[in-house]
Amino acid sequence: MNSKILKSILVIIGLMVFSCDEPETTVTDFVHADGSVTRRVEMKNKKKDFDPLKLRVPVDSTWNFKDTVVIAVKDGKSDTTWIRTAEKRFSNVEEINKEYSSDIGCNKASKRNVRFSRKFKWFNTEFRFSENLEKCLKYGYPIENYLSREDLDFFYLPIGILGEKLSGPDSTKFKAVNDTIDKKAETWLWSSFVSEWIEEFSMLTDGRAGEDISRENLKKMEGEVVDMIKSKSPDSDSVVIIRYLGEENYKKFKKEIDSTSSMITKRVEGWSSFKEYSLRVVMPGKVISTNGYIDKNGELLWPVKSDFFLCAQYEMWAVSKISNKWAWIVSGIFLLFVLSGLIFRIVKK
Amino acid sequence: MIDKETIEECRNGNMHYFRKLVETTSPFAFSVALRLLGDEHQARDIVQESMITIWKTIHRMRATGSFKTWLYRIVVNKCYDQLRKRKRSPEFNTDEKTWILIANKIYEEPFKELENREAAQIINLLTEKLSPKQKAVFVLSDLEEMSNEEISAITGMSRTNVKANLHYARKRICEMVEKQL
Amino acid sequence: MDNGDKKYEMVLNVLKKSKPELMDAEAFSDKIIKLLQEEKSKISLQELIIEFLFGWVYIGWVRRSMVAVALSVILLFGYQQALILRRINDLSDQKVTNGKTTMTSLTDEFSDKILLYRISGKKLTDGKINISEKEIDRLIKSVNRLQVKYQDIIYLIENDPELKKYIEAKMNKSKKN
Repeated sequence: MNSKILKSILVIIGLMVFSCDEPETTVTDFVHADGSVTRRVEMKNKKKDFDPLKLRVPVDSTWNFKDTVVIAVKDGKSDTTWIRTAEKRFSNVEEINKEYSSDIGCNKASKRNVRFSRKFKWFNTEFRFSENLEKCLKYGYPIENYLSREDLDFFYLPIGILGEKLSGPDSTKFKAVNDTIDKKAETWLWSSFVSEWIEEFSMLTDGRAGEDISRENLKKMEGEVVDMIKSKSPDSDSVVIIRYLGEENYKKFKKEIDSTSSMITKRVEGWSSFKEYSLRVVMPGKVISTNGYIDKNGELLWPVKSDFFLCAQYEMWAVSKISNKWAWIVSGIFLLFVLSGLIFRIVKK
Repeated sequence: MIDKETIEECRNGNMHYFRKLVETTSPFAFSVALRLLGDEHQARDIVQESMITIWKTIHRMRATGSFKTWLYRIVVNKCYDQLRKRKRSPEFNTDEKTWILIANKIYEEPFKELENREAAQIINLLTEKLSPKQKAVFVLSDLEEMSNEEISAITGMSRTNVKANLHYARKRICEMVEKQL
Repeated sequence: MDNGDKKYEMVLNVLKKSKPELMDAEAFSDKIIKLLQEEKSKISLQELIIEFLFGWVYIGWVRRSMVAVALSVILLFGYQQALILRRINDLSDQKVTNGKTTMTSLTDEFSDKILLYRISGKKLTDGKINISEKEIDRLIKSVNRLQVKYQDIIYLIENDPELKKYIEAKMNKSKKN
């Protein structure tokens, strides 16, 4: 496998656990009943550096900005935090999608889109809002195959909470839990990459590969390769591949091997450079279902991390409803009218 | 009695056709009402009220075939109400005079028709001991010559009930006639 | 036929022959028509309004259609509300957070829930915890299951002297520590 991928992925895994890249970003979408969205982006940084190239979501000069400084004094030392708040009203979600497509920030390579729909159901109008991140790998495995339900709860914890757990009281206990999950996640990660490589390689060789390196056989050896990679042996990547495919096959299909590796590098580029942030959504009316966290203010919260969309689309959705008062009134009047008509008939009879 | 077209036009509020309906049906309704009530003025009032009721409710009528039944039903029900209110009126002649009248008509002038007043008098006498239902059954069956089915439909009684009431009515009248004539 | 019946028949014949006659039938009809026309003009506004509003009840197909629509509206309302209530109830199983900590009640086992409480940092609010009736039921069921398991374990220990000795030794050791 291409050494460039391996090295970059190793760095990323190392960064994954204690990811604390700045600026710490929270995106809040205030969804309105007419389909417009007011997006507020709050960025916190220890220094006054809000380089557009480092921003998690696209923010440009058309937004309204407000800068504040928070100085906290702890143990005689002052701690300065710069906060930049940017706000903009979008008349519909297509405008947000347009900004995503022309993004220049650090997450520009990830495919994101926002969807909004409104359904009139007579007594209520239902609103559905979702923000989606397209998956990177076509043939990766779902994380659910590797983590238990409790592990997944920990895995999907909101960013701030995870950080606090790992640095607060009982941090030893949480770090132990986190380490266990990391090990499982590492296996998942490598298995997914290897699976992706095998599938793409098999498609490129298109039946020209011999029985020994057919897709089925390569799949059987997948576990071995993952163990090889995890063991972080000093062997170079070419040696790994030669051991995996055999020297003869390596020479015969060098072109396809290189193409596969480049393809996958490109595919995971967006994923590997993705910087996490938090997404909050405030829906019109009353929330009736969602796959996010609900805080005490009724706001919905999702962590947005690269792991979540490696092998599957990550959809953050919420459904809310607003009662159509006039429909209730009209229906009530109609029912009363019919009832009184029937009573009138019975009385007259 | 009445054709489909007339009834349809009446349902649509056509006064001209309704006049035609009144002209056609009033004599029949009057005959039943007079025989039941025994008083011409009351009978006319009943027929009048019945016609007004028909005008107001003809759009509720389901099928034209049952118009006759429906008409008679309205008339008979209004007569019931009247009969229940009524006490024995001193206006009528005493029984003895009426029996003489009956005997005279049977034996002396069998082909001469009775006047309305005389007919009413006789019927009142003969049915004086009968309940309004028994009287109605007697009048509709023996005088108006309707079938038991028709009487059942008009009065709302079952056919068995109709037969029973009729039998009783005839028996009472027979006893009276045998005793007095 | 006896004498009575004979006389009865004779009386009937006389009466049948003399069918009551409605004098001046035309004038009678005129009177009725006139009455109706007068009544029509006298119809009060109230009656007109009532007739306008409720005239439809006399027309069979209109009446049946209105009743069908009314029933459909009621059914639709009931179905929608039930669906929404179910979704809102499912939300109570949703993950909640107060910004500092988080909790989820996806699991049915209370012992698993306690683990999650520990992971997520115990309570949501100081000195107060809201717990639903559903959760109390689950707690009671979980406690009952634990009790049964506990009794099974005690039984096993009691019937195995070696195991009992081993456990007692371990307990004494941990007490000393």
